[in-house]
Amino acid sequence: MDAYISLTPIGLFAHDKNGSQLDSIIFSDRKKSKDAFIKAMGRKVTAEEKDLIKKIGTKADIIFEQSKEGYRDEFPNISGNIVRENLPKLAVSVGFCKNASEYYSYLHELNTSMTRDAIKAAATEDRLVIHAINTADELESTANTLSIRLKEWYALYYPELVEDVRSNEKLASMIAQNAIRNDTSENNTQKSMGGDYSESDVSEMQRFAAMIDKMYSHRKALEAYIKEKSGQIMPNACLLISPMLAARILADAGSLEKISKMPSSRIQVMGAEKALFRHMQGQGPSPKHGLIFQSPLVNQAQKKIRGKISRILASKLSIAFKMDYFDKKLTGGNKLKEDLDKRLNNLKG
Amino acid sequence: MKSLMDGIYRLGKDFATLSMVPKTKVYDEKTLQKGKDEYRLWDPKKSKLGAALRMGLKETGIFEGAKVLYLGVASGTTASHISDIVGPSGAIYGVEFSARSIRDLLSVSKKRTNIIPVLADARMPQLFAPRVEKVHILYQDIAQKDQSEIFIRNADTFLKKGGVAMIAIKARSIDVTENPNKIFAQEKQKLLKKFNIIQQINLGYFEKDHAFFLCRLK
Ligand SMILES: C[S@@+](CC[C@H](N)C(=O)[O-])C[C@H]1O[C@@H](n2cnc3c(N)ncnc32)[C@H](O)[C@@H]1O
Repeated sequence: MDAYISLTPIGLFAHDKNGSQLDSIIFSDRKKSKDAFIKAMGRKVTAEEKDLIKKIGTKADIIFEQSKEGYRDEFPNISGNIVRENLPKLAVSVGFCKNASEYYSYLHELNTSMTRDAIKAAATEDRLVIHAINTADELESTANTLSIRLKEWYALYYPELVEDVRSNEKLASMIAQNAIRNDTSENNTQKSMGGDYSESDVSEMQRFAAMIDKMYSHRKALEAYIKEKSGQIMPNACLLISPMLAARILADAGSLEKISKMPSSRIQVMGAEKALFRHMQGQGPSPKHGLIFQSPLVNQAQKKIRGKISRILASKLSIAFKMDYFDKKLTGGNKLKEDLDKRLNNLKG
Repeated sequence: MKSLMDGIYRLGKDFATLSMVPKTKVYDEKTLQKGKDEYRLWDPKKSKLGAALRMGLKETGIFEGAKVLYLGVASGTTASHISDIVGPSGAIYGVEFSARSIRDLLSVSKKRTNIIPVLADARMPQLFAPRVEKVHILYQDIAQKDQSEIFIRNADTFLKKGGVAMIAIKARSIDVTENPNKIFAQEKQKLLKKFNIIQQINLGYFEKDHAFFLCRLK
């Protein structure tokens, strides 16, 4: 005989193939009902499920709706179809609750609490790295934009310095540290072309520079944090590419789980979606690399083999990310790195 | 105020629902006070069902006390209006697979207790079946390549006999390069195997390259 089992928030039900109920186990102890339900959602056979199977009798061939260790499953099965037809009514008839509205409050609470737990579980370490790398990139781009303003502003007072110091970061830090003009000498050729402004005018410029300077140093601190975290959550990928690049790929994908499921062809062109889209519409060549172009392995290679290198790198990376997602420990990364080096050498050879 | 379909009101060119939880906005919808009643205007730019109504949807099938399975509920913009319609005796199972989106839904479902949040993947009904029940209405708005197949699978499992099913189909998530009308025609053929199509609406003006199908289980 076949016995079909279904799981509901109020308990477990078993029906035969004609839809007659064989037996049930009701989670009547409200203190334990939530736990019993959540456990039963898993693959392991729970105490309640064992009880039910015992009640039905061992001769029956058991068929669950969800996959269960050691048993067959079929979804939806006849038992599930029957119990889901009118759960509140069923809940009242088996004495789980007094009326439908009580059933729904229980259900609401159960689902809210399960959802909260799942949200909590989803707030994993990879989310931290994603926010950190996005913040780092946004800080840099904002600081660069503000630097344009700073240059224009400070050049009113000290154009030579602005002309001289090409790096935005260095300039902001110098101005913030009071890089004032030193042209009191009489020699006219050494005199600045900048205007003569009061101390309070210049110090206003310096306050602005100090804020930009802070943004750059904050970005640096974040970078150190990202490197450490990336190394922890993606140790294998970080053997093949820099931790910052690994973090950018992670951010683009959205989660470690998502990258672990991506084919390497996708990893190869991540970050080149626009070019890919143009290509799919038949308006351009297929992109050979996206974000992974930031790896020196690719951008420092000869142009004609860059496409090939990106493909090889992406295929190794896709394995590395899978290792990182599935067991985190440094398992096969070193071997991957060796393989990669070998293949790259052959290519150059 | 005159009700068009169950629980849906017309205010000029706008549609609205009677708020079940007055003085609490869900998204930045406009509200209108009439005596003791507060009406929440249904923003067609934020809700595809709202857009479908504006584009001439004749009925929704949703009624007071209805049980609804909503796939892709996100933060509950559309679901909040459905929540007004089904009222305290109804239930909306809001399925969403993004933890970020459903976090916002929790603050909505806290006050609207007829919304039951279910963090799960609509593609795998066997995994959330134990948490839901059979429903009168299936509503789906998810951007997935195989959205019609997902819709049919869920209707097969959870929709009661004669139930109403609505789906917003986004052409771009099926194929970015193909002509949307061709995609809609092809998806329609899939739906016709399972449903009678009561109405097909192009959301054109409000949502680019989206079609909305109102169906009834055969
Ligand atoms: C366009 S939004 C829905 C907006 C919502 N219907 C409204 O009008 O208020 C689509 C939602 O579907 C969710 N989604 C996409 N695929 C899904 C799947 N397989 N299972 C569950 N949710 C999914 C997305 O995370 C997103 O929140």
